Amino acid sequence: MPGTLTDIINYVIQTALGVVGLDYARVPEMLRIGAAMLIACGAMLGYVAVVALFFGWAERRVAGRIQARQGPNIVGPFGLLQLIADAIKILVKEDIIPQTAHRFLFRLAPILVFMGAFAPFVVLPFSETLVVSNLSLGVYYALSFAALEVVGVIMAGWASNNKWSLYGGMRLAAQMMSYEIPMGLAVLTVAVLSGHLNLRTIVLDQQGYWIFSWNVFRGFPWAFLAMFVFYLAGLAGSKRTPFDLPEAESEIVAGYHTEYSGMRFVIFYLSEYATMYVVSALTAVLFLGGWHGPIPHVLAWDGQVHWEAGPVLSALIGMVNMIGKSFFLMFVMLWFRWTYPRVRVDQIVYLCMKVLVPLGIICLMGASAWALVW
Amino acid sequence: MSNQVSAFIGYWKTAWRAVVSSTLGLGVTLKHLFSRPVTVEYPKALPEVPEGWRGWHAYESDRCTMCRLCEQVCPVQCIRLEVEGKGRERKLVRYEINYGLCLFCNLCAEVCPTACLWMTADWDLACYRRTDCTIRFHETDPNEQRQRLWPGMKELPARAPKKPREAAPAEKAQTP
Amino acid sequence: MVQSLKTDEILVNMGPQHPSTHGVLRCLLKTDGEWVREVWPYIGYLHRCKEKIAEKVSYIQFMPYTDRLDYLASANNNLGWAMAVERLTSIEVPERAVWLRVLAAELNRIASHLLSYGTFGMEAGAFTPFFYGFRERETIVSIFDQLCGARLTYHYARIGGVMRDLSPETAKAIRRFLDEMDRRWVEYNTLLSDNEIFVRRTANVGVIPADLAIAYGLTGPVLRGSGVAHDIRKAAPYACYPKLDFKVCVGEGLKGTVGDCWDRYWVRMLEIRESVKICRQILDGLPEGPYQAKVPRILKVLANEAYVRTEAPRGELGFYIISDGTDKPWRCRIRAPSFCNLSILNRIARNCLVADVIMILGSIDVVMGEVDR
Ligand code: SF4
Ligand code: SF4
Repeated sequence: MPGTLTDIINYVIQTALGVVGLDYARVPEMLRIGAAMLIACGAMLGYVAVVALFFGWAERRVAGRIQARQGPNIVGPFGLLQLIADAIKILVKEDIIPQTAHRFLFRLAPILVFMGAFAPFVVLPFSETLVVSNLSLGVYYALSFAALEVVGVIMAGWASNNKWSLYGGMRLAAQMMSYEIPMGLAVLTVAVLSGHLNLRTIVLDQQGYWIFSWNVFRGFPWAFLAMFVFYLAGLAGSKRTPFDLPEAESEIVAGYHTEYSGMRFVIFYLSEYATMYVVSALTAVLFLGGWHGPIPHVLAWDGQVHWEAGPVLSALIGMVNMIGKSFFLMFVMLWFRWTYPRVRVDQIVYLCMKVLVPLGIICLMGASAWALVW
Repeated sequence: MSNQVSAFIGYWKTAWRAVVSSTLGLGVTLKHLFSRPVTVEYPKALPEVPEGWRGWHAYESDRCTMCRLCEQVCPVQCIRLEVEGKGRERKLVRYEINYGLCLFCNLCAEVCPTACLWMTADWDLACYRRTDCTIRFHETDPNEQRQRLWPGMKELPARAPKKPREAAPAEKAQTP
Repeated sequence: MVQSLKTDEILVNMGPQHPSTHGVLRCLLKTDGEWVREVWPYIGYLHRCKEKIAEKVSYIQFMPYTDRLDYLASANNNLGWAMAVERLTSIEVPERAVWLRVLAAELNRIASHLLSYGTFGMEAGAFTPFFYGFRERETIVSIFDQLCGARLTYHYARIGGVMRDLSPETAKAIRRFLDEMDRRWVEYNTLLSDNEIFVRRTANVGVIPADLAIAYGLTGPVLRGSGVAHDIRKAAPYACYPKLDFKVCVGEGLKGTVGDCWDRYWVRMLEIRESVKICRQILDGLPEGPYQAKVPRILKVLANEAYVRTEAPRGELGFYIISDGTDKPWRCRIRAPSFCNLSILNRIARNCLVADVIMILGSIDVVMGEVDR
């Protein structure tokens, strides 16, 4: 049985070529891996686009309903096609670069931001088999790419040559730098509990006693708290309310993307949703049992629940579980956004340094103690 | 020492308050998420406009005595009235209102002694050019002009039913 | 070493096109990183020569212009102007008209405070309160639809009375609204007032001590937020206010210091409730009778002068008219509460964060139509 998504793709290509009578095995291995990687990344890119489009719609719809409005409901069923209409509109928009902006950095910034947001998708497991790259340090790969986003945002803020943009960039730098600490601590808690940094293994580790073997419940008080630490820190990392200071509309206009328009603006927009998805998916993977469903799909209960469905079916079920969990967590983000005010720039650091970091350390120590005991 | 203790207690109190108030806030929005929206879809569902709305004017030239009171009372002088001839021979040649200026204050309608000028419940006032803002009530049917401005615009509602003569404000005082 | 790390202060223009400067206020910020060292408000972007226009149109004709001073509280402005002219001409206003005017003014006060609630929440970063505030304001606006046929520029109070009588259906609609308002008020507080993030953003921010508030001539909720129980409706009662039972709400520093942003905000919230109470009393005790006195079509006023002050939602609204025997004022001076309240911005928004400046500005709640006139 193929191990990861790239293997699956290779397998598919091989079979397809086999039908035409070509031997795929004779192609150099590097090329084979490269081709599979490209296709997998393309698929992920498509997935990111779909997620961003869907949540662009969901955000408006949820916002509308929460605010006693209708939300988009004209274009397509439930207004689902609204975002596509918007995408077309934005694509044909004029691309404006301010005269005094640093043209090269101004253009580079959105790409860096998107790279930072997209890179973690590569290690997100959708099911046991559906993962693009099964890195052994998957978690840290995912977290470290957030740093790229910081660079991009500062670049955008600086290159726009707008004071408000600069504010946005600097705010994000301060915010992301500080929130990587509690995020790392929360991840360490899980790492200590499961003993792995590979996302796939972490999920596999959570198999067993129904939802009680999920990390949230397994390492009960510690991992449970760590989940909140991780989620809140992730919320700050993806610049969502109540931590949306870098783009605080009422304070610094639109923050670092004040000067961006058209396609480049869309890239920022896309990366925001991509980051949100990454945070949600990581929360699901690390704490909420990843692709393991809340309902054991094999009803034979002998103390352990086995994955007895076939590989295709289990991959599908796993995918549904995983996407469902991530989408729910993303919905919570939307819900937060339309409920809470924004914290102030000093409070965001206070919250990080005086609340989340101590909490993260407590979680880590507690989890370590548990790991020692058991 | 006691300072530190109270700071410590305050820290946890704040944390508790933050958690509770945040959760309650989420409850409010969740309740709204599943309740009916209050807005209407504008072009499909038109807002209900009550009687006595101050929208477009309606004007009946046959009842107008050409007394020019409306022209005089208008704070922005957006009513233009031209009369030819004298005495009984007087003829109205021009009666226009520039809606680019109009304040919709109802003063002109209140002052009209024959109540041949009144404000209708029509609020759909947009037009494409500034010159289109001036409606020539003397010329053709204003409805026709409106159709020219914006094809498909609905008819002036209050043109058809004749408004019963209403007393001028000063007389109204006697009728409680 | 340390000296070489010294950073420069930069000047940032906030406005006239900025999401939270309430229209077209321009603030020049001297900032040192996130710290704001000083704020200078620049006004005049919405200047429409209202006082000069008053000299050019008759007393009756100026009434619709007052709608456009503080466009969020037209009924209050109408009331002020009508009272000023009536004091000059000694026109007797029928009792029913007086009560109806106050009803309109109080409804408008609720609408204005609701809008202030919404925008203040928006400035704190919460979007939803804005829509909730607008939803209830919409109901009030629909009531005004029925009452006077307009949604923003009411032109309801007229010299010597009001424009139309209150119909029983409208009275019923108002009662329904007041009941709903009671329910919503609790919801507003759960959503915003008690939210810890919001409290943290507003408590102890932009504190105006009582003596400073008095020294700067602040009025309205901004003054009462500092704990000074001064309300023209009580201090110099006019119209039918002496017959109504309501209390003057003051800031008590419930969440922080007396006179901080949260207090000013809270005073507005409390005033919504008081206004609801007042409206109920008016509906219960509305006297019968005519609603418009006999007013000559051309209102000539003998040479005289009068100053009438009323409590608009934003503070003391004063009309000072000098007449010269014609049908037009010789000079009209409008004391706009927002204008005076704005003057304190430079004093209190010092050495605070950029986000605090926004909150302070929001808690002062200026309407540029009134500041610039
Ligand atoms: S409504 Fe007022 S502004 Fe408009 S035409 Fe009549 S008097 Fe003039
Ligand atoms: S006030 Fe009435 S009657 Fe007199 S000119 Fe105007 S519309 Fe005609």
